[in-house]
Amino acid sequence: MHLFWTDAGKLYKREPGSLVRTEVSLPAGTVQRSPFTRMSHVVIPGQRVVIFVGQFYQNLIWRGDTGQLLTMGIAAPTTAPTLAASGTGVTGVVTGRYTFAHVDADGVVVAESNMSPASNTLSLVNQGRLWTGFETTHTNARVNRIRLYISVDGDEYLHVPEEDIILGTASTDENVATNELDQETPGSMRRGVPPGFKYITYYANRAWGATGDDDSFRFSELDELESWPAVNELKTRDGRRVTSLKALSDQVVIGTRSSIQDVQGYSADDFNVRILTQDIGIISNGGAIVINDKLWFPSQDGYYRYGGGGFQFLMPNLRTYFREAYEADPQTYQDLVVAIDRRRHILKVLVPGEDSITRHPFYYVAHYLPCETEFGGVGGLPYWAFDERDNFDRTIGTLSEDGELLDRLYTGSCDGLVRLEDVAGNQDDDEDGAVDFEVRIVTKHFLPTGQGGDDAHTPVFGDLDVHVKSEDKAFTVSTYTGDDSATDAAEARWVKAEPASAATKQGRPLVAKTSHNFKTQNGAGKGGAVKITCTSPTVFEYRGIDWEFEPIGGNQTRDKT
Amino acid sequence: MAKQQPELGRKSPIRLRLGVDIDTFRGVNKENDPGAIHDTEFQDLVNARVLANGKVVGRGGQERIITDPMDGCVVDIVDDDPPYEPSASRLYYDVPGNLSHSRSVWGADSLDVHNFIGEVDMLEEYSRRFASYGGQLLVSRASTRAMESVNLETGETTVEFQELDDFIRAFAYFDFGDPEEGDKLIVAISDDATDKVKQWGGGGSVTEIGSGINGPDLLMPRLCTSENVHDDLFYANTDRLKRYNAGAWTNIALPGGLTKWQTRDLVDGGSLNRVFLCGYDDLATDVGKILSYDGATATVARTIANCTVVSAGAMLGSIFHYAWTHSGTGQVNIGRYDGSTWNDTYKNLTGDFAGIAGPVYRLYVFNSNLHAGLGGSGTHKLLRSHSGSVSGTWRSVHTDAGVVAGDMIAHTA
Repeated sequence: MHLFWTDAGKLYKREPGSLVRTEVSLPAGTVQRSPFTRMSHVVIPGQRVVIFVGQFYQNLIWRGDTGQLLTMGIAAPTTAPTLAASGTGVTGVVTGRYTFAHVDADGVVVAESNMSPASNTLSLVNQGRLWTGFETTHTNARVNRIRLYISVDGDEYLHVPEEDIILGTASTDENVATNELDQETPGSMRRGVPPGFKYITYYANRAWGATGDDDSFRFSELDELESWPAVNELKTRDGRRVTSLKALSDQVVIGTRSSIQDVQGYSADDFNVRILTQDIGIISNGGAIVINDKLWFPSQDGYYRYGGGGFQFLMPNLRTYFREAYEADPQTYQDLVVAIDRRRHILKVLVPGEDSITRHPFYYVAHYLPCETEFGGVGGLPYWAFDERDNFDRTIGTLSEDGELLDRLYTGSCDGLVRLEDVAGNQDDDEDGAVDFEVRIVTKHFLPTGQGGDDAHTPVFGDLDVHVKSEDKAFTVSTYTGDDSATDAAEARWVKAEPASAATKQGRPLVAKTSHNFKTQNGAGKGGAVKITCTSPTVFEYRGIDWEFEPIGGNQTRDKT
Repeated sequence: MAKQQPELGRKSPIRLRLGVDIDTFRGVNKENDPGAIHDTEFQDLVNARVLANGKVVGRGGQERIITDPMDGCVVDIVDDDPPYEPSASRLYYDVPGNLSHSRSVWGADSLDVHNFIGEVDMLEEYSRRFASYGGQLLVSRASTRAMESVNLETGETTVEFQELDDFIRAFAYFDFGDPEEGDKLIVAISDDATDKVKQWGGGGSVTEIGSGINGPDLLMPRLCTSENVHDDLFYANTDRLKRYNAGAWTNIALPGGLTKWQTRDLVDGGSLNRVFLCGYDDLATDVGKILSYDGATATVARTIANCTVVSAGAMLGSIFHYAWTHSGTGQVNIGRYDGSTWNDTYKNLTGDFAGIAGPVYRLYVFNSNLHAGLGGSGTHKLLRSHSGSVSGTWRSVHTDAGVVAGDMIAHTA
């Protein structure tokens, strides 16, 4: 099932392949945070269970097998039951407690609270037990059963089988023999409702959550996603507030604004926090993601990755660009969203758009193959590019349709729609029929004879071969000549529009042209750059340029004698 | 003396051509001076991708996946099911060598790599059936009138049980409620006098289950189990639908107005909470229909114009799909029903594979894709949807000059 949250606080579901979405009812009492906080979610492997935290003050859990969205965790009763003798059957000194539970149609206990306070002590001689004083309502709408636990002669509390009662029932009687009690006990009282988290992950068969309000983070009981005893809490070593929580292979990585720490170990006794770095932080939980067993995350000057052995900076070519953008709008950059397109081996980092202030989204696009030796790369840096879009995209994520071997990338926008990304042959971003995106390539600024000399002693640029295949759309070639900052000029020195290269002639299809020759004019300067743009092409390929120049300027070098 | 022609500078090229001068382009570099970045880097690179072969290409556009906007900005996208994992199973299916009962069994994996298993002469098209039970691939064999297991390495078969007067024409799996027993293999048998439904106990042991199934010789018995409809076993045949209920077969009244109902497929509707019968009403209107039983009443759920028979059905997720052939144009269609809307021509298979001919004898879901076993004179015998999209372009798994493909089943060797 595909699930979509909106900032209106609504959840929608969609069957893979279906064009129809339907709204999912939220649990009663769910309240959205104000101001808006981005959802963090974790999908529990193999269970079709998703935990959602952040957007609401309550933590929510989706159970795909039943299609239910539930409030996570069940608060325990605060009122003790009362026991009295009734009927026949049991001998011993007993006390009773009860729990609230969510039991499914098959009788399986989905979630259960800690036990209530203990009842009065009752001595029985071949007598049954009359239970009264149950709380008859619960704030969590999923609670549908009360489960009884009895302690006989001071032994641990054991479940009274076949006696679970419907919530709302104020009393019941039973006489289950002591030797027929279930050996099931919640006597450790290790359940409990967690605080409202903003970050969630899953590691070592436990869910891990953090409120993001302080230096603490919590973990659930083993294989019990909804049991969060207060003692299952750890803190960052340096007291910094948690800004990110991500599972990575055999550790949980905890980010703060300016440090990164981890937890290793498989049992609660083994868990310990250690500092990995105090120089690098994680500024956005939604901007962090694991690729090939390495955590890619945004710090204040760009993306790093951590694979357990050390940190590698991935944006030396965009360090200042990223940092200045972050400093200009820290709130937006702390709300980054990232997703992987495994088919194209790219990572897309969304700087979210916002329609209410007409801020269009912006994407950093990392081609990660070059840096992943496991994927055939050479251990270098990723190649970065940018995507621009007219839609107001607010999120990006992956979905898999039935039968697909790999998931695909989708964006969610402020028009309430979800769209598949990078659809080959589709030149329209939002299927509104309007012209949408422009492919834009600007080469380096070539300085063929160096930067020396004055303006009267510069190269003159001449024939330009542009190796472009643009089958269906015309494209434009511009040149900017002069000093290094020539491309900052409002107007190009030379511009030429070239028609689409897959034209037909007299009804005969032509092979698409891939090289185009131009006579550039007025192209003198110490150097030059070429800009190529093409609007909404379906097939556009760039293979480079050949650009001729005269090393010493033309007229300026004529022999006047 | 003539004036000396001034000497212009020697022309030199900046050469930066992929495959000639460089082997790849790199990404954008805004950190360094525009003149100081590497030749293969860009001052700006927008809405473009650097392919693994070094080429720079434009990115693709977008495609909406829902038609009705949601309320508010979409702020989270989640898939509650991890990406699909290919099944360890293979799909086994039969392709005939000719019109006789000489058939061949084939297997194909999730990548459509298929291989010949062996010759197993099976029943006529509609009654040919496979089963996968107890780790064995089982077939109903015509010449021996037996259920035989197939050796997947040699193609040889071994008789598992045999009733010489009977043909085994349908299989199902049913849990009788014994937690230690699990599912049992159920077989539907027809002979010259009566139909029977039996439970296979392993080896040569078979036990008739229930009473009341007996009837005239009916060649197209069908079985299915449904958890959501009484959690029972169902049997259908000509003019009858029965439910195995507490040890006996009880009759379910077919809808009024039918002259002579001919069952071609019986499908558990899963989350749609009903059982579907595909077939046609003989003698009267001669049109294909789908009947539906919701646990209380059987009704005519769909009547399709220009359709002589709805030949097969299958559930893909929560959507019921069915196959039929246009009696005029010969167009082979896959229809679907999502619980509220019927779309008889959801997929036109003829549009993807010109020349194919119906009927589709079997619809089957394998690796989350719908597979169609085709009859008629076309060479494409087994087609499947791709990427879980029934409406998208289908692929041909197997081509053969034979006439029909009767059945298929996923089986893990």
